Amino acid sequence: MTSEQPRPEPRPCVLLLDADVVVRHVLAEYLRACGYQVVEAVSSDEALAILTHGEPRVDTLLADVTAPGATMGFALARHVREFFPSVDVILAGTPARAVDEAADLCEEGPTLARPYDPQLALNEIRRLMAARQSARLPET
Amino acid sequence: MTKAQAVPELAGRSKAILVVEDEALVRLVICEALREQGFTVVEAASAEEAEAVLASGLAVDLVFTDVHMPGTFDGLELARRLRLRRPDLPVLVTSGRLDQAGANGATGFLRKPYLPADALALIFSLIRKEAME
Repeated sequence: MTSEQPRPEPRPCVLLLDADVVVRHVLAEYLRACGYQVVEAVSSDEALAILTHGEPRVDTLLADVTAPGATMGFALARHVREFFPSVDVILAGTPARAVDEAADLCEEGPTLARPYDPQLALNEIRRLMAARQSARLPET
Repeated sequence: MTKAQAVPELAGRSKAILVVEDEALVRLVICEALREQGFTVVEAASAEEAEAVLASGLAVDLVFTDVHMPGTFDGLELARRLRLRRPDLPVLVTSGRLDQAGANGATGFLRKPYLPADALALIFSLIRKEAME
């Protein structure tokens, strides 16, 4: 009789780059729910600092193409492909596209299943963005 | 209901900590430590981002904020604003340049550099205290 042992391999790691905290949080929770380790970055500078640090080892960079930083968008993708060739790079231009890409990542692994309908994640992003827009805390 | 059909409870499945820290690697370490303890963690890289989180309605049970960060206001100002608007929300302030007295107004203070275990212990104690009040 054998007992199930936890996998020795670390969970695949997604470096999620998005400057909008609401979009980033919902996408990160979605990817975590399907088993990925997710590291969050708000700018390309932060993303490159995390990649250079090397811990955790990043497998995939999912980046908002408009995220700020010294190396933006397609230039960031080129830079990562050149200096971190083991990292898959996915660029997304809109939250909807980013959710689609996250859903595809969840189809590929590590649990081979989407945690829930990605449309729910997109709806949550839209709800939080709308609430933030209409209920900005007043300046004091 | 299957797992794939389950509705996400992004803001309510566990105690949620809003971590406000502009140093990505510092943020990474403390956020991972909190997640390992079962917390839902929302990451913000500035006080402005933290306000955007709170304005969006995401439920947060405690704010753990650095003081000196880029942006139009710092972590102390964030703590001051939250004390006025959300006096029930614990705010733990961390800084390498201030002491407890300098962080007057925060619910708690943790001097930088800190060990994740020390931050966790303080966060647990503040949340327990909040739950008992």
